[in-house]
Amino acid sequence: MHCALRAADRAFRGILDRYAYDQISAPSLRRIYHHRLPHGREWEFVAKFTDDRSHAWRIDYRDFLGAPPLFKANVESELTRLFSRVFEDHFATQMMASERRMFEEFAATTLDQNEINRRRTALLEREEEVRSVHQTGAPSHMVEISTAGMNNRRDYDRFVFAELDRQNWLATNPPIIRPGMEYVNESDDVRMSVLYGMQMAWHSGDVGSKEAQKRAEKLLLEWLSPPQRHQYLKEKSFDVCGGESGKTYRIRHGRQMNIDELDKAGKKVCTWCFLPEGQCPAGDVMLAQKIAIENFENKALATANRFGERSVFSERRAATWERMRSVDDASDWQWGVAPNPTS
Amino acid sequence: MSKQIVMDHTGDSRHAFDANDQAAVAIAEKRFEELTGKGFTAAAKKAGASESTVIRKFDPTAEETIFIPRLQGG
Repeated sequence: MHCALRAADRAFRGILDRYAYDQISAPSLRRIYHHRLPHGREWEFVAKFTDDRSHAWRIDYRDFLGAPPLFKANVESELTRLFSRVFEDHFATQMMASERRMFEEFAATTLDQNEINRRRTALLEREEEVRSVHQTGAPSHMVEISTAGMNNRRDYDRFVFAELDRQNWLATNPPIIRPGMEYVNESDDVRMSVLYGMQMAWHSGDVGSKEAQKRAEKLLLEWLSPPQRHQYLKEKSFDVCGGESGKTYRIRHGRQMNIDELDKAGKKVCTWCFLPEGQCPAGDVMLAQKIAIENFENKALATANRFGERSVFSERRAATWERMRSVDDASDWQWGVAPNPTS
Repeated sequence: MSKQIVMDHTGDSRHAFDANDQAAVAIAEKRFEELTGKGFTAAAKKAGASESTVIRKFDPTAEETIFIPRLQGG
């Protein structure tokens, strides 16, 4: 479990690093407490983060009698949701700070007061939207407790569990339920970015033993053309020409979401994701992708998933605000309900 | 020596055979048929060359043939 949490933490910091966002103030998990309640049927879990916020939840052990692996999986799943939520909050904060800086830069260099006012209004609306969507409420089934200034373990425990008793959990003080990361509105760029970045960070890693990884990379180098080999050794990525369209694709080191389609100017148009079945190491996957694009591009892309450019990846984020603001969120989804793809 | 390279979780499995040995060629052909029948894609290239070609029929003259498992969206 700690391994999974460390990986999630690393992935999150990788995302922040990718956008040059602040990592120092990013919360990390300080401690997980758990104890069995006196009646013996439930466990209480409390996760404390370095930003002095704690999240608590209960698991009924009877649901997992005779199936300890399921119990462990449930705890891991709850923790992953919790991590996603905490990361999302921090990401949203950083993103809004960045957008505010962009606005201030714009305001300082423009004389058009009407445009400044229009953008200020848009920024305030956006901040309010992000605050209400991403920075309010704990994940479902969890209670959020502020534990600022509590560093003594005994006081902390007493306070947390007394607080939980006082709140009587969900019965008397239900938390605001936020949809899980599995429900993503495409216009919600905060959540899309976190999800996308996490997927990239988690899935770009390699699989198999070190020996298998080295073997696969050796095979890849044997099959690359000299310019591709040179580029791969230098940048850990190489360019491939589509055999049917003539388009350029950049294959980055990784197994998933690692194929960027480039335009004539060399800018990324979108990301494609396809890979061979089975747990082939990254070298094999990249080689399979190269051969497929060079020899049967259309067929390979027909099986692939395509990921469009999101606003946070765009240099023109300000322009994207306008497009996003025009999307009527309420029309295509509700909290806690998966969006209907046909609407 | 010709080589058949099958991608798998260990990186790859290699099977070398002499193109002049009829028995070895028959085994290699059988392996080719089995793997492509399971959905593997075969691509061949000449030794030292960087261009690969997808092949549908067994080519005993290919210096290296690589077998790629069926592709799926990620």
